[in-house]
Order: sequence, then structure tokens, then C-alpha cells
Amino acid sequence: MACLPHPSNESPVKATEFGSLYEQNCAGCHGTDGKNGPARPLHDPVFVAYMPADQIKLVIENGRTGTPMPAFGQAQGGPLNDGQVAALVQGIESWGKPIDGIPSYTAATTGDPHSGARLFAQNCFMCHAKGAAVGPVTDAAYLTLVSDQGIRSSIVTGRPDLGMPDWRHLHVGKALSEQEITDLASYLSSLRPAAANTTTAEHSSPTGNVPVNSADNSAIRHTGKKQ
Amino acid sequence: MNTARKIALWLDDRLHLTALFTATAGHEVPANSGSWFYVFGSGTLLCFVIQVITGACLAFVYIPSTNEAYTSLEYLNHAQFLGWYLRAVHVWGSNFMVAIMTMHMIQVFLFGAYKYPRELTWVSGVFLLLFTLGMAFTGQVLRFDQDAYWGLSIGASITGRIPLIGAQMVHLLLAGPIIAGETLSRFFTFHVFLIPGLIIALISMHLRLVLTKGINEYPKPGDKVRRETYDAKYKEIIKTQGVPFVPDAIGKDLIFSGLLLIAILTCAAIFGPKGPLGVPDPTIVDTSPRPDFYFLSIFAALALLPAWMEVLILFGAPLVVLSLLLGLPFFDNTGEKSARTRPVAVLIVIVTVLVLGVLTYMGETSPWSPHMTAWSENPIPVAYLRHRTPLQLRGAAFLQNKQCRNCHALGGVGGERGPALDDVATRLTADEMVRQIIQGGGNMPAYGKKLSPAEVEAIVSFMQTLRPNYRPAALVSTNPEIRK
Amino acid sequence: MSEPRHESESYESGELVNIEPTATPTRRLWLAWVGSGLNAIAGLLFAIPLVGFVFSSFVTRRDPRAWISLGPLENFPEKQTRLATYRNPFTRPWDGQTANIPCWVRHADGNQFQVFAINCTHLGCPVRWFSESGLFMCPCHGGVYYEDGSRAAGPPPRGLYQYDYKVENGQLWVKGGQMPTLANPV
Repeated sequence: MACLPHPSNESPVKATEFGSLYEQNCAGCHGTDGKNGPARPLHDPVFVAYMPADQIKLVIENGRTGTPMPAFGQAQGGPLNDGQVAALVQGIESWGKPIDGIPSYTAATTGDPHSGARLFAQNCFMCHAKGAAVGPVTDAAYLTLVSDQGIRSSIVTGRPDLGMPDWRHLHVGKALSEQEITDLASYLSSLRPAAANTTTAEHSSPTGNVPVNSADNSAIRHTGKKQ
Repeated sequence: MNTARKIALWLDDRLHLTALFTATAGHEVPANSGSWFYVFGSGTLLCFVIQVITGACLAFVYIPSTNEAYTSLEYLNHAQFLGWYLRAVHVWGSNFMVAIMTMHMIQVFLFGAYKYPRELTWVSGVFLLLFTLGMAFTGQVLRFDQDAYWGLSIGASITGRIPLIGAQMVHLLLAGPIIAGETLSRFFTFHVFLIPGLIIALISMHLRLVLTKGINEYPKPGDKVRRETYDAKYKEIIKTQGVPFVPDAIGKDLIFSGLLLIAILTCAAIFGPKGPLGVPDPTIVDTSPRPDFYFLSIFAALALLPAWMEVLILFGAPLVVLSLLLGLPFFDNTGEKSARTRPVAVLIVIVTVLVLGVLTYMGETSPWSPHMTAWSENPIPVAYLRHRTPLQLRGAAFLQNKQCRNCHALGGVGGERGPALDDVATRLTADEMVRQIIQGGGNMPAYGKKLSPAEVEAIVSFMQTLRPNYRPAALVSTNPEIRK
Repeated sequence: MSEPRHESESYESGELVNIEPTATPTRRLWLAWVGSGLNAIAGLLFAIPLVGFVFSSFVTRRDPRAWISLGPLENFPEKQTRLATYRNPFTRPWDGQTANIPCWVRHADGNQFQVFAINCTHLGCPVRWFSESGLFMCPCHGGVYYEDGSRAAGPPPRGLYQYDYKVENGQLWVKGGQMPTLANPV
């Protein structure tokens, strides 16, 4: 009778186990085990120390408008209830450890773009110039798709899984100061094209004249299939 | 004459047991019908008996109410002593019943047993097949879980396509305007009272016809059936090579039935009962309904048919198939019986089995269904993210965010509805990607309204990196490079 | 022990004992006819309530739908699509959770709503909303709809079924209670 099935009284809708919650909802962008995805790695002590838990909770629940981070909270029409969000926050927090002198999550002062431009040329240009090893972060489309907070977070935490150093190692021999980080972020924000604001959530018709109804689709079906 | 013998004779005198035996189990059959090919009929009957017994046991506990059915199934599985096992035997009995019945049908078809004078044996068998499938569908509904609920929804949607009286037929099927109230009771009545009653009546007719018209002799090539001579010939066969069914011809049936019963009991013990899966709460929309095994082929056909053929096939095909099955013994009434001389018959069996097999496999894998959680669940292969620009990485994130993966696989993971994107850059130029994303086409929705220009640029910049092994990127056909 | 043997034989040969007519055949025949006729009438009388009982759901006497509240308008933020559930008005006391029917509410803008049935128009499976791509997808055969309910891809023969709705007392009401099918589009 080894095959007597076990009671399955836990509905999958209410599961609060971090591993499976992470796998179902986060792994697609943040990578297996929280690393090596297109989006920011969460399995990174620097990131966890840097981002306050209540902010993590807010972002999971509400998403971040204009970026690829969608809202997961049920209040925003997402799939996760409060307990599940709390389980995710707790699980992500467990990936961290306290780090001394970590810059604050939000900028305390306004940045100086001119100082930021100089810092960019000193510390970032070798990788992020056009045609350089990694590629430009000054690209208009890229800047349109990241939030100011996202720029700041990238400067502080880097991308350890992809080889981008964090704020301590961007400048050889010396960690960037709070003000330098703010200046750098404000420089990059200032490059963002004015017309393309970060809010992409509600483009009524960004592509204007493009036909989107199915009748028009049928007319171009042949070209769509040709490959 | 001792007392026991006297009692036996008295009983026989009053009950006519000897006569009954001679007329039924002991009737003479052609000696060559005691063959391993002739065991499937009795095997199907055994399965039916198992279903009646286990079904009656389950009905002791099962409650046919939408509120309680699921709980009573869980109770059977976990609380009722051996309830899980009887549920397992019932479901495995049904699997085996459909399988053995199919073999029985194929054997009868290949051996020409439906020809003169056994037309009605075949016809009653066709109805038995229909009723058994009816039992399979109603039984799937009684296992009242998410699949059952949405299976009813599918059933109602199909019914709703009946021309003219569709609306009324839906209400008749569901016993009301919606799945609620008497819907489950209705299916319970069909599964437990009406269809089994009809099956028992038909089995009686089927067996009586086997007795009155005789079991088919083992066909020999060149031995043609002719209406004028067959009856005399069969009488001659019985006279010269006739043996009583019991005990001379029943041995192989008994061995097969015994093995079958052991197989059902073993499968039930090893694999256990089926479901119930999720709770039948319609508000849990996070579900992918699938029918039971027997109906997967129809499920698949409905995904693959072009829209204009659907109603035609849904109602036309069953009519055509039924007419062909019912008409078979009448338009192919005489002639060769042996499969060795009937290549078309063999071909029909092979093609039918292949078609149903392939459709069932496709129904099982459902490549046309979007993978609902792929976008948030399936990571992009790490190699595709190495040495990418920040914009390309953003594009990769948006590729996930916009649920592209639900239909498009990367690294073999993700939906299969659309083409895999691993080598999309070798097939499409950047402009073609932009056009395809914004305008859709070829069964892809248009994303123009849901993507900003920057998002399109990011996604396309990522997709342009998707060309494995440095295979050359797609070129515009007017590009002079191509003319070289 | 010779008589029973005789009976067995008569059983085997299937012959019935021939009953000699003692009364006039016309009278017997007349009685049989009257008897049959009487039973036919009685059977008909029996059949009427039986057929009426079993096929009562075939004929819909009145519209099974009723106005049901989906809750306050605040539950449906503008430019968003949310899952709402209502208690099926056709419900029976023994229905339990099965009587909770889901639907998708799209608050287009202002007082403009769209309330979509959960059922795919192809074969009735539950469609799921994806806000990022603005699509409804069906898990069964891959039907896809745009956010306004129009058909985008796959086998569905039409756009999503839409409930009649009204806004009253700060609440959103829909006319529900019938499973939508092609023959009964809500």
C-alpha cells in the first residue's frame, strides 16, 4: 500500500513555499536561483543589503511602471496574495547579509549632471562607450526603459553575475561616494530623451498608423508566414 | 441412487439447468474458434462486470451533489478503508475495457465476423461501443474536479454549436442554463442507471445473437461467404468439428480473463486512483483542462481543424463514422472473411489506429496551447545573455514581460504555438521583426498597441543576437550581398 | 423421472404448449385489442409527465438571467482588467463553490466598461488575462483575444462574450446566470 496517495489539502493557489513561488513568478526574468537572468540578480548580498525589505515588497506588489517589472500583488490584478508576497520578500532577504557602508536606497540630495558626466568618463566609459565591450548605457531606448531608481540601483549593485562591479569597485581603489552615485545617476537621467517619458504603461497607440485589428492581419498573413 | 444425486436431479427437474447449460455455455462451437484471437469479447465482458461491482461499491459513498462530490471523492481516497483502491480498480477497469473492446472490434473486423448472418451482432456491438464511450464521458464528469467542470463547459460549448436547437440542447445537457443545480445529478443518473441498463440489455442481445447465429468459424482465405450456402455450411462445421464451448473452447478465454483481472488489479495497486485534481471552483481560472485519454484525439482534432470545418466535422464526422460502422455488415455482407485476402480492411485498421494514435499524442502534448506561466517561470538560457548590451538585456526582460515565451520557446523551453526564437535572427531581419511584432500575422496577435517604440527597439535588439553558432544573420532580399 | 425429461425436451425445441381455444376467437381478439388500446392510452398518460419532467430544461420558460452586482466600482481601476466573481442566480442550495462564476471586467475609461465571460468562444475553457501584453489566452486550444475582447489569434470563431452591464449606486451590475455558448451568447 505504498501507493496510498497523500492528502492534497494545500491548494496550489495558496502555496507559500519560497522556492516554488520564486520559480513560478520570478525565475523567468531574474534567473534560476536569482542569478543570470536579464533582470537584476536578486541572489546578491549587495542588492539585498541595499534595497529595504519594504521597498522590495512594494515593487513586487505594484511593479515598476515603465520597466519590465510587472505588478504581482492581487490588489493590482496580479496573482499573489499578501502571504505569498511576504514569503517572497522573506526568501529574498535570506539571500543577503549586512554590508558596511552601503549607499542609501534613495538619493538624499539632487545630483549634478556635469559632475556625473565627468565621473562617467572616468569610471564607466571603458565598458559602456558605443562599440565598447559591454555597450552603451547612454542609448536613448535603454534610458527610456529604466527608471531613475533603476539607474541608481545598477550603479550601486552592479551586475555581479555578468561581471559589472558594484559601487566599491567602479572606481579603481576607491568606492564611489553617496554624492558621486547621485551625480552619476542624474547625468544618465539627463540623457533620457524628453519626449519618451518612462511611462510606457498606457500608450494608447504608440505606433499611430499601424493597423492592429485582425482583418488587417489577414491581408499580411503571407508575409508573416514566409519564414 | 444416493440422496445428493436425488436432490441434484430434483433441482434440475425444477430449474431445467441441464437444458439451460446445453443451450448456453455448453453450446457447440467450431473447434477452431477456440483461438487466442477469440478471447477479447469475454475479456470486455469481464471488464464490464468489474465496473458494475466497483461502481456499486463507490456509489455507497459517493455523493452526486456539486457541493459534496469532491469531498466525497477525497473521503474515498483518504478516509474510507480501501476506498482509494476501489476507485483505482474502477478507473483502470474502464481503461482496460476501452482497450480490450477496441481489440475485440478490430479482431471481429479483420476476421469478417460481421458478415452474413451476424449483421446484428456487429450492430449491437457498435451501440455497445457508443454506450461505453458515454460511460467514459459521464464518469469523467462524476470525478467532479476542475477538469470535470471545464469538461462540462467544453461539452456545452460543443452542444451549443448544433444548428437551430443549440441553445435548447445546452440547457438539456446541463439541466439548466448553467453548470449548477441538477447538472451533476443528471450525469450521475446517466452513468449509474440509464447507460448501464442499456448496456446490460445490449449485452444480452449481443450474447443471444452469438448463441443463435453461432460464433464465427476461424476464417480461411478463399472460403467465401455466400448467403445461399452459408447456413448449411456452418451447420456442417458444427456437426463435424463442433465442440461444446464449455469446457472445450473456454480455456483460453479463462486464461485471458484471469490475466486481465490480475493486470487491472496490479495497475490499480501501482498507479492508484485518478484524481480528483483541483477543486471544482470555477473562479480558479489558473487551470488547463484536458479530457480523459479516450477523448484526447477529439480534443486534438478541435485544435487542428480550420474554423470553417469545425461544425461540419463535429457533427458530420460522427454521423459519417456511425453510418459507416452501422452500414458495414450490410454493404460488405458476403465474400472473403480472412484478413489475408482483405488488404483494404487491414489498411483501414492501420490508418484508423495511426490517426487516433497521433491525435491522442498531440492531444497529450498540446503544442498549440500557450504555456501560461512560461513568461515568469522559464528563464532565458544563460548563454543568450552573455556579452549583451544593456539595451539587449532590457529587451530580453521585455521579451519575458510581454509573455512572448508563452508561445515561443527559447532553449527548448516555452510555448510551441509559434516558432522557437533561438535562431530568429537567421530568419528575420530587424525590420521584419519590427513588422511582425507590431502587426502580428500568421496567427500571432498584433502587439502595436501594447509596446512603446523603445520596447520594440529593445526586444528587436535582443532578438537580433539570437543566431546560434555565429550563423549569418538574415539579409533583406534586395541586399546585393545575396546576389553574389 | 420420465416426465421432467419430456418437459426439458419441449423447452429445448422451443415449442410452446398449444392452447386450444375455448371461447370464440373474435371475442378473444376483441379483448386483446381493447386491452392494448387501454394500455396505449395509459402509457400515453404516463409518458406526458415523464417527458415533461425530463425535457423541462429543453424549453426555457423565462430568461434565466438576472442583474447581479460585481461589487463597488473602486474594485475596477480605470484602464485595467480585473477578475470578478458573482454568485450564479440560478443556484441551488447544494451547489457550493460551483455556483461562483468568474468574469473579466475591463474598465476602459469613465463609465465605459466591458464585462467578458470567462469562457473562450471556441470551446468554453477559461481564458486568462495577461496585462503586460494586453491579451486573453485560452489554455485549451490556444485562442487569443485582445484587451477589448476581439479575436486576436487561434481557433475562436468570434470575440469574447460580453455581459450586459449597468452602473448603479456606485456598483457594477451584470446580467448573468447563463453559460455563454455560440447559441446563447450571454
